[in-house]
Amino acid sequence: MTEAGEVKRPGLINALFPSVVSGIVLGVIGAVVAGVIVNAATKGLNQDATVAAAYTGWTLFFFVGIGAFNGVLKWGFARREATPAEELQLAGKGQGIWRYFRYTTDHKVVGMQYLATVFVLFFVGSMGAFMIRLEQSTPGAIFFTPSTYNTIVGMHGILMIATTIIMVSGPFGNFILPIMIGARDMAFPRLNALSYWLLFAAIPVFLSMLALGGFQTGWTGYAPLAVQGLTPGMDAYCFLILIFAVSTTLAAMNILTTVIVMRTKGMTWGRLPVFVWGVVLSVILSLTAFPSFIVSQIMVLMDRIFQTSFFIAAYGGNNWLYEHLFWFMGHPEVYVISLPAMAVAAEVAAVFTRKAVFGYRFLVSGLVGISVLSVIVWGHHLYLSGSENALVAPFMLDTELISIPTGIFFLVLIGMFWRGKIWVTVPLLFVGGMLVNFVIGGISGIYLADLPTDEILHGGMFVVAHFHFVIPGSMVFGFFAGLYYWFPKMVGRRLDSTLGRLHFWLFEIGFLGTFTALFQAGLQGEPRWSANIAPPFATANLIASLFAILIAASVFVFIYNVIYTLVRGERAVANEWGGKTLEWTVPTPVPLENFEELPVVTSLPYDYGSPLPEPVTPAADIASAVIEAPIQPQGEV
Amino acid sequence: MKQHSSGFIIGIVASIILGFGIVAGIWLGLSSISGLGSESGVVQATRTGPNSATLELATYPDSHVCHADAPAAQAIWVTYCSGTNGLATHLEVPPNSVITVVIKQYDSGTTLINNYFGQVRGTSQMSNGQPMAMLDGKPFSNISDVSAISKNTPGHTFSSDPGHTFTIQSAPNTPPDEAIFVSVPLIGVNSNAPTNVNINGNMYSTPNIISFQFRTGPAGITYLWHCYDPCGDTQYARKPPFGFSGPMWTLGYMAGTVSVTNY
Amino acid sequence: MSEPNIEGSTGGASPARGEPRHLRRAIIIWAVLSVIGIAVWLAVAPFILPSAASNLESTDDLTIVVLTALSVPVAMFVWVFLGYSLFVFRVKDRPTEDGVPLQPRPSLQIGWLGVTSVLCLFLLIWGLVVFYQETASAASNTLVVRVTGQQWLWSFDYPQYGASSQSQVIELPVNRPVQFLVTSEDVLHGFSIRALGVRVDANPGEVTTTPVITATQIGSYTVNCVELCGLYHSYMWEAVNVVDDTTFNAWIVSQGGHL
Repeated sequence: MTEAGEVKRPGLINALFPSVVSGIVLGVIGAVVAGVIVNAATKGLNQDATVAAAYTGWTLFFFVGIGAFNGVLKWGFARREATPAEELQLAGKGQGIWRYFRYTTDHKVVGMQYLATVFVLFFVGSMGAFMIRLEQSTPGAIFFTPSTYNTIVGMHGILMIATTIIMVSGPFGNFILPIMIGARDMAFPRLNALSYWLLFAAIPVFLSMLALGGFQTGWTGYAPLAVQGLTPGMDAYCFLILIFAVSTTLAAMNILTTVIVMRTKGMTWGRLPVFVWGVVLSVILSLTAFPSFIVSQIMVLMDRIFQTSFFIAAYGGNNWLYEHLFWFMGHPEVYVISLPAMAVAAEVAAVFTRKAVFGYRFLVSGLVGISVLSVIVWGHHLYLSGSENALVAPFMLDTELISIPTGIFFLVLIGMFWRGKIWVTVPLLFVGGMLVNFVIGGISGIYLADLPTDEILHGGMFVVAHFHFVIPGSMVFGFFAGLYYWFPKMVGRRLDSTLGRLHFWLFEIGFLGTFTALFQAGLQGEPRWSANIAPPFATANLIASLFAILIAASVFVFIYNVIYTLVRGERAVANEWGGKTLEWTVPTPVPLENFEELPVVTSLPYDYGSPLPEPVTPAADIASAVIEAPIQPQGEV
Repeated sequence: MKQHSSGFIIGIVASIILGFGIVAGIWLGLSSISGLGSESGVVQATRTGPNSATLELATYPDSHVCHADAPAAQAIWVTYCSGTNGLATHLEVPPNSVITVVIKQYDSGTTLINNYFGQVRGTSQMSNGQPMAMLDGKPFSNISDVSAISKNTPGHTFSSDPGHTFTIQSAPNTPPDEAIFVSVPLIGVNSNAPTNVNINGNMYSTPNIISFQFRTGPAGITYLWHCYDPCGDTQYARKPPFGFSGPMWTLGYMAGTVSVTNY
Repeated sequence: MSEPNIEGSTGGASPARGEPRHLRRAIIIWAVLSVIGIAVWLAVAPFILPSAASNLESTDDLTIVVLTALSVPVAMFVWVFLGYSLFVFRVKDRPTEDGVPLQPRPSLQIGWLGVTSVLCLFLLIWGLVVFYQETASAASNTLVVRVTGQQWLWSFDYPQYGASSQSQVIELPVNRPVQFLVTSEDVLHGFSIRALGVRVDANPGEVTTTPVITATQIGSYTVNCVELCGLYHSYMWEAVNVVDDTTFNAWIVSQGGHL
């Protein structure tokens, strides 16, 4: 199958089938057919069953349409391996821009697809946030009815949680990580494509809830309320979780296997860049935690569709079961979000302070400590639920303990700034902002970890301000640091640094103003999920909404920056910042199989100012330092 | 710092303006999706004097009268209506007045989940020191009083359970001095009663007429009203939490507001 | 890459010039700002925190004050060292030489872990002590209030008197222990009285209890719902009036109870 003779074929049909277009067309047909069949079978009485069938049909036929099963037919049933030429075809060789709209296996294509999707999801989620601040700027449910508001709050919450889970591991874990460990692709390239397109397929499922009556439970989907609602919008939420969790599980297994098996010669675990450690620990955590989430949503769906009663007290169930299942996932999940972003911050800081990581093993052990402890702290969300008082003390112990490894992260980052040669670029600004915000976020977590203070702050705006300081305030800042840092490598152009600074300052000032005001509102006792703001909290909320205007402006400035750069930006050089990790040794744009010859690594990529005489590092003179290494096979054993 | 052209600056400003335009557009779009929680219509109490007004409502066992074009799933939802004006649960009443509420109750009874709501509370008329309401012209203060009334009304028996409650409650924004709390159980029609009343082609039983009075304070305050007798979701015999879903949850059916305004 | 101004190649021992000066300066700035920060916090705290109306709330407020006072030096450490670095060690444009290759000495690592552990332990013990105090059993004259949460109203019973609140009001006698027994008729609600430091979820099919608290201040407070329960979640509201005994007894009788 040479592409030379096919370049000029009537391209459109060939381009469209199979592609995302055929996937969507077939998916819609599948959804309608399945929905109609089940509707007739249940005589229209079980709306939840109809909707669930439609979503299942959509997902299945979307993947048929996009060509995900072609491999099963071509190679599985034919019982042969794909030839290297077929693998390259799958990886998008010679397909130009269409490869981004197909079931392409090249990790760089998947990384860009994730990046574009993360942008879109962040945009939609921020719109939800601005709607919330609009409604909360004044008492009374004026801009929206309370039920519309509840749906918006839930939509904002779950979209942002899902997006922050994948925001670093998706784009950078896919595009940069394999290059950083000296591999040509991921261990399971086809699963990589699958995990991305599952995410894509989940989005229309979720947005359809707007036409199905919305959902009233907020992103936590608490059980008796989730089962109660007659409108099927709640089912859209459950399905989003199911599809998304499968997507991230696949991606997690892929990343983990890649790092374990495909590190290049000389890259021992002790020489692994910090970014890779962060992503690896994060995916191990997600593999541990997300099954609990999947199970809880399946049980909610069963309660809704098949009238089981896992969570309905009147029939023998218990809502505490849901809370435990949910928070067993919910707490490690915030560390799934945090670990990659924290690792990005360390990675970026090393380059822009021209200093080694201040205690590489110290930092890695801190990250490992956070991962291990995060699995045993979930009960702090349940201090006031009324379930077993005996659980309060052990969970208080674990939750306090987790601040110790977190403190290690701060010491290491401060140590990297101290006496460095600090080049204040936009990525470094975002690292600085992250450090400022993470202090506030982390300390406010202590208030919630201790029972005496939790019992006056639980369920209020203090909690909201805490997790906003930690997740958007710290981890999304880490994402932006990584984005501005790796954009020149991924896209080949430089993001404008004036616009980048404007983005940063608008975001940081707006953010600090908004959420400090909400801390105050929380101290006064304002409950969460308030469509109707009570008069004592009106001033704090108005101030928060005014500062949120700055955050909105920062979002639009950033979008302008991206569009402007794509249209008219300057081309970037291969090693834009003088970094020492392996991705900066390959040309920009990165060729299809990354390396001409796989590199050999002899030290950590942080030997800035090293006293050793001329160490042989990957970023130094490759030609003289590298031993010829045979091309490694891709993932197959 | 690079020098940027003025076109660049204009680009920044234009993006911000365009962005806020998108925000406004999304707000309007979301508010107009009716399935997410639409506003219902407004019903004004009829003024009968400088300090009095009457509010006439009716409760039906289905949507056919008030919401004839309801989607199939909502057609079986019980409704509160005013005349045949469509779904209207935003009630307006004048300030500093005695409001007489007259409700024609066509719906049958369902057992209360919380007996608290079996008692008449907060009305301005008293009987034996207890707030009272009138059932077909006879006073009662608790659903336990109904059987005595039944015995005295030949040919017309009432269900021993309320079909709904009409409960007006205050919200966090209500100034404490103007707090109102009124709750009246709306006694149900006996389920054996014949359906001999024709409204717009739909047949119902003779309704129970329940009336009560309450006082309003100054203008500018909005209270909530809600029904607290669960009736939703016929499939699961109203066991909690199912009884409280569907129409119980939805503006325009059994939840709404009472606004004190000048008109 | 390697430049003459990289002092001391023994992997972390202080290079000769510069280091003690910077470190000393930063530590002084940190100490001064911490002291100022704590002083400002202690001055401002009574205005930020709502007034405590029960013994439990007073303890909880004190916990907030102490926690924040302890956090000030921790936060200042990060901010001062970060800020100092950004001002003093900044270079314009792309640097041509690397920073000083510092590595943390074992004494620093252990010391850091030690300090953070001590802080954590202190907070943990404080929390456990308060928790233990809350589980003390009720005195014999404890008032019991039964709270029923529903979508979207709280209703209250006083089983010891056979009374139930006729409107959206809880009345409590001052200086008498009270305990709330909370349940729900439909979905999860969160019963919360901020001023009294009371907060517990209302679960269907279960009765949960708050700690025994004693209201110490006469006044009017509010009950909120802090667990999302649907359409009118943010409208669920009741008043709490803490009054003297005589007023309370009269109120109980007026609500249909017997003393």
